[in-house]
Amino acid sequence: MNQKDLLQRGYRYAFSLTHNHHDAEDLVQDAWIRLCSKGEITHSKSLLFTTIRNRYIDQFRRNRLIVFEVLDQEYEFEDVEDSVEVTTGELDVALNSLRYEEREAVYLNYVEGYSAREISQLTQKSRNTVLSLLHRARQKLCKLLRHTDKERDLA
Amino acid sequence: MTQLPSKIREYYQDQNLDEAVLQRIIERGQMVKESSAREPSGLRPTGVKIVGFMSITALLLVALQFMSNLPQPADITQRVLQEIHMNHEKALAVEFATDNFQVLSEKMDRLGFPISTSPHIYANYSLLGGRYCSIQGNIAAQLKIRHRDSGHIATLYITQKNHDLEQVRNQSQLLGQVQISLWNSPSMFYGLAQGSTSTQK
Repeated sequence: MNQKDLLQRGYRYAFSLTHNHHDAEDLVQDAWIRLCSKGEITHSKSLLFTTIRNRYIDQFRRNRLIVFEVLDQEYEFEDVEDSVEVTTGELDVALNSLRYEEREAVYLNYVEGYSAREISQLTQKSRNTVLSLLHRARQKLCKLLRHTDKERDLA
Repeated sequence: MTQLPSKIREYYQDQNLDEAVLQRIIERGQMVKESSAREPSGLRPTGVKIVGFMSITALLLVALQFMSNLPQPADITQRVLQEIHMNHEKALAVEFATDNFQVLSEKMDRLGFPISTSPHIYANYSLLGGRYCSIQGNIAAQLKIRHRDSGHIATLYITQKNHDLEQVRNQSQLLGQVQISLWNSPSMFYGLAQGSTSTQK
């Protein structure tokens, strides 16, 4: 992977965290410069992603309320229907409604193809927590987009 | 019916940095790498820089105190607030007059970073132009902006964060008759100064 491809992947990952283009650009640039200043091997995707994540946690969560949401250890998995009609704009709004951890898990799993174990290694969360995040994100997205889909049919 | 996972993949794969931005980041990274590699071995570069910075800063502070006889601010936040207050009250003319942030970014190419700011600023203010300035020795952009509703002129400062500016928390304070807001993003530092009669022309 060349440097530009790596930067683009880093930008998309940063965007999954921030859901804001300016902040994502700042984040990926900041992480890249940090790695370069330490003489790190900048063609490592895992190192770039880890640095982006750590900078996001440091900078963006510093001045925000931290809301703790209890993740049940055991819960029933419902079948989640993934087939909905959705426009890019509707998906953008739906993704913005997710918590950053949910969006991050969705991005890493669906786009980067990470397994739950790989996501847990990057995010330092247990595999069960990652599976919970993925399932909850899918439930929220499907519910929101199905609602939007029905509203469109009624209109 | 569209499968959600493939729609999500498509959505994120469409999020791309501009070619020019990519190139700029890569070039900056290269410069930083080369400058880190040039540090002499056997020394602690950060330690040398801190000692040098403190020596120069100490000399400047002594000189300023002697000349102005003003009390020195105890911390970086106060120094930044006072610097922004002073620059805002000077109400200097812009060097580059434009209402387009992209154009201003291209004209102010010595900055080394693009001029961009928060959605709140874009939504509530129009751009009049900008000039070079500095915040605690860091090259910065000083933008003259006008509030869309009130018509009042404000000054927006944008610079890259350094070790000192990272310690400044998001806040808003009134200095004299100037309301100054400070905030930051992962790599950038912002200051917004509003008010005072000297700028309402």
